Amino acid sequence: MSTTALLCMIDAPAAAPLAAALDAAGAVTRCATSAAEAVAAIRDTLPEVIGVVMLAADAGTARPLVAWSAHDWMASADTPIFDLLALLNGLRDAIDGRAATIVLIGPEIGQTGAVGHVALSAMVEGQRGLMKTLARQWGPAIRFAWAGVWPPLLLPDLDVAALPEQPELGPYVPPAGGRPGWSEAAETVLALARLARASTGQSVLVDGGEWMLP
Amino acid sequence: MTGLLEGRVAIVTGAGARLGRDLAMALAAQGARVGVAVRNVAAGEETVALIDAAGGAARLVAMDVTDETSVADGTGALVGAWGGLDIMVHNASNSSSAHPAAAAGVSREDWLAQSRVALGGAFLTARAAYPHLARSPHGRYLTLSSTFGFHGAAMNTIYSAQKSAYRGFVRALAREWGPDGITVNAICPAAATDSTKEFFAQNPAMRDAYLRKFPLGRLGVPRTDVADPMALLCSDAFGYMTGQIFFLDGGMYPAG
Repeated sequence: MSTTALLCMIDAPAAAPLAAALDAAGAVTRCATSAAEAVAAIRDTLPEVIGVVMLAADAGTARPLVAWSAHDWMASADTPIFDLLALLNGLRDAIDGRAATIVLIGPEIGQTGAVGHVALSAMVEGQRGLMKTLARQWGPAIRFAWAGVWPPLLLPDLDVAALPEQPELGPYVPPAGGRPGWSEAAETVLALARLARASTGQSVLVDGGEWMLP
Repeated sequence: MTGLLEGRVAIVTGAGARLGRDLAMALAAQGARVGVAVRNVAAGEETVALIDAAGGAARLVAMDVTDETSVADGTGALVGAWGGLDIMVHNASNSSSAHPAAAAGVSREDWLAQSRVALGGAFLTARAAYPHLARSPHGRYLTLSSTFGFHGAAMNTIYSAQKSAYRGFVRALAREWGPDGITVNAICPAAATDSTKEFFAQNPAMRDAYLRKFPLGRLGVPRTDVADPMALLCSDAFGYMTGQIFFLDGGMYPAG
């Protein structure tokens, strides 16, 4: 029996392949690209899994901290955290007391840091911290999980050379054999949704074992 | 007075009361000259007087961490007076951050009241401090995160998210500023501040239940358990540690 899924992609057009990957992994996936669409979709039919990706426009552009304006900083580092809260509050209202599982998908950059991406790293970790506090507030009915993916999947313009190298010596291949793509990310999202019966507020890095954080 | 921070110049935001005052006094006790950065000038003057009375050196820095001109001017004035800046500690937080706030009731105004001080203030203080920290052979940037940001405290939505965001901030900025020799770290304190004591005085049963969560069986003393160790983090002994979140919480949260 297939799983029903809703994928909310706000300012995250690069996440579109995740919908197809979810379908390929056995889900029947609807997509929403705005909060209003997502809320309407849930009011219509509550899916078994709600995937959420929310980024800031231009999130992948590297910029030294000292080159940011105060306005742009808040727009990139802070606003998407609040916007995620506003979206999730809307989804919660639409869920209306029923059981639901929400899996947030974001770049793993918040857990590793990266030169030129202080705003993005702060924002992503802020969203992940928000996920934890909501998991505590809205359980047991609404369960949460976080999937951190290889950043260029969500941010194709991001300079891969800016990403930190993991600490192994010598030529490197992640122990799982490579960096996962959308197919593995989709399987992880669905697995996290199944895991939500036993757990909430947890994070997984979908990186082939590259960082093994924490 | 001699100490591990002799000759260093530091700024501590939110240094007019509570933990910020203790942080300022701890840095001064190690020999640093301390800029007491405050919006409330009278409170800042009290901190300066306490440092003076203890034999340290301090100056009042009028600073609103939500205002980029104020942060730049305050930092510039201190550097003009003392010739440099080695340590920036962003401690300030909005007073509403101590109040429980369920997610469903959070307005944009509620959010900004805290985030303009937290993430906004971290950005403005870091940007203003950068050229001076880069010139220092001992550049240190510290901010105050919280265990709430790690375990996701249910009772305080905005605070948990903002303190969590500091993790990403610290990890990325440590990488960015590493080539300049500047260390960037955060501490997560759990201490019996005045506001904590007031809260538990009104809720003694909650106090007892909370203390059971601490392997050391007590809430930390702000000065000796948090501020003094934080001053050590600013010393050369920790010049090789960066991008880290340092827990001063009596073992309450087993992060990592």
